Amino acid sequence: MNNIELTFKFFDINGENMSLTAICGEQRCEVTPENNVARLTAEFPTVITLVLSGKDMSSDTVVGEDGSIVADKHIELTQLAIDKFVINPEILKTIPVVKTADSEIRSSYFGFNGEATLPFEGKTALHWLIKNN
Amino acid sequence: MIVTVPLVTSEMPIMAPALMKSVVLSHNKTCAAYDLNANVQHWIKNHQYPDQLIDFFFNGHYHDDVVDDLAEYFQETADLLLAHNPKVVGLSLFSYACQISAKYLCMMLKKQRPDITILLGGSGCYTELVADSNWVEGMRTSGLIDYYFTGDAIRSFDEFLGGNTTFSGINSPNWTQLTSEELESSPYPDYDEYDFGLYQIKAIPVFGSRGCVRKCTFCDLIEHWTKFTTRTADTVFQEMLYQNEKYGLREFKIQNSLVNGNLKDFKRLITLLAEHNTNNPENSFKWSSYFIFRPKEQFPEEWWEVTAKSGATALNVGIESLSEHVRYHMGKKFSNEDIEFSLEMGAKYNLRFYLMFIVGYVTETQEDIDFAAQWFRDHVHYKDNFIMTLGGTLGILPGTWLDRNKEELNIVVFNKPTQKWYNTVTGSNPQMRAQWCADLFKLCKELGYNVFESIDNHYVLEMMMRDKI
Repeated sequence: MNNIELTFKFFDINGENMSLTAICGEQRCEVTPENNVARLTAEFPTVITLVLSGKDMSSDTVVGEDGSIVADKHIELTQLAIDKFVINPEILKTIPVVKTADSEIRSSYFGFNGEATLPFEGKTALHWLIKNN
Repeated sequence: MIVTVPLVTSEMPIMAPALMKSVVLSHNKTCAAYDLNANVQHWIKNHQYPDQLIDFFFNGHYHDDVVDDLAEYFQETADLLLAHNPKVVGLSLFSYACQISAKYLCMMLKKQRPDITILLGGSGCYTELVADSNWVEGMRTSGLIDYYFTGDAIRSFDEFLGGNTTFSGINSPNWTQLTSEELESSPYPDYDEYDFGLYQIKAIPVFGSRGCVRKCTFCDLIEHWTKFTTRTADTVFQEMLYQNEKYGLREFKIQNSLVNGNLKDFKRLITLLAEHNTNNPENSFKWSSYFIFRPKEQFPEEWWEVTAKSGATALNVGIESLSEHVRYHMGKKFSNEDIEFSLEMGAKYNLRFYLMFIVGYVTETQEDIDFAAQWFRDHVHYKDNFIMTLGGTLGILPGTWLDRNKEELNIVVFNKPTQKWYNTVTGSNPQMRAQWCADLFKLCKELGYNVFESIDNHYVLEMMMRDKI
């Protein structure tokens, strides 16, 4: 069994944050700004699903006069560790899968209501790490 | 247990685990020391996909062909170490290229034995000698290791074993260099668990000093080992005798920055060795090390003869530049006349030199490169007496004198690798220096010089010890 730790950072608008639940098999972990690490255990291969909610698409993104985004309510995945092995931060943004209406992107920035998945393929955690780190 | 971790390109034993084992034994504790790097090199040599394995160990790159074998390697290595039921496992990282495998191994060890104490040590804990401790501190804060040791760990490890976990150099990039007295009383390394059959070079490492007598402007080693401290020649010689009697080996690599930094000690050592070799022709010793050329007045011909009789086989010499004013700016105050005399002595007494050059020092201009080219043309008669490397052009290493004085030298550094700098006054830039290097390389090859392309000077010295080059 492998210990997987996901660390998140929350960005609020007017003190209000998005909600996040990390799900792996039967395990559910509510993640909050104060309790921002999801600790899950799993055998490989496995999939972790992040369920995101609480974003008002009309008001939770503040746009400046020039059209650029000034502030945005969102959550970022800032660290992933498997059995204490912290993944290379550069690789982190390539792991979560976000499905949009017509495509699939890889991002560690979650500013939408919906789901993102973290697929962990490979026979063992070691195989996955060697391939993806 | 104390082990090396891969990957280090070395064909002879790595000393650190054996030395640290002796420190443990002095505390009446049990310990085993293994050079796992030797096993891995052997494995890679006989593997179907050696390049892919090397690419993983050095660069962390993934190759489908070897992922199963690598996973099996880390699992089996952890199992092997844990089969001894150790309370503590120490990993010795010779260079930063060991960080990748160290991280995987620590993960596998902690996963199976969360209670185990893991220690890291060696220069490889840092990416550069004088740098922050991000990587190794990250290993500690993530829980993969418990303690790390910076610098020479003989004293700090000794304190640790005595229960002092906050001594200088433990879990800190700051450490206290050993005094000559502390070096003198260092235990002899214990190689009992090493399999000498795995090594192409059956030689024993021995150290005589730390730091350097020179203060070369480009060197980061002297920023880490700020003082030149030594063991006496008699102590070094006694250790050689001891290891020879214990393991039957007669060849030694003296792991000093300079074997002849302290001339009095060096003359004493080569005298002892020459006498031994004369009196014991069936058990004569050979040795190799790093060396400096000295003026004839300091080291006249009779001492070159003793050097040869002492069993010197390969001597690495940092020439760096053939322009005296460039060398003097570096802090290397020996003349071209000194080089000539030394080469003449080397030829006469059959001593092999490995001459190291740095192309593109901060003050170097095209004129200096042209001068070097002419020197190589004029000294072709020595081409069989040395091998040489032109290196990878000058890198401005963090923390060095060059780095600290960049502004005064009109140097602008614009990112890694460390060769990425330019001189705003002379116009020297990476492309120009690379071209100088390529031009000199081509010329030297055409003239028949033995030019080695590796920039790993330790490895080249070992290849010379094997007569491979």
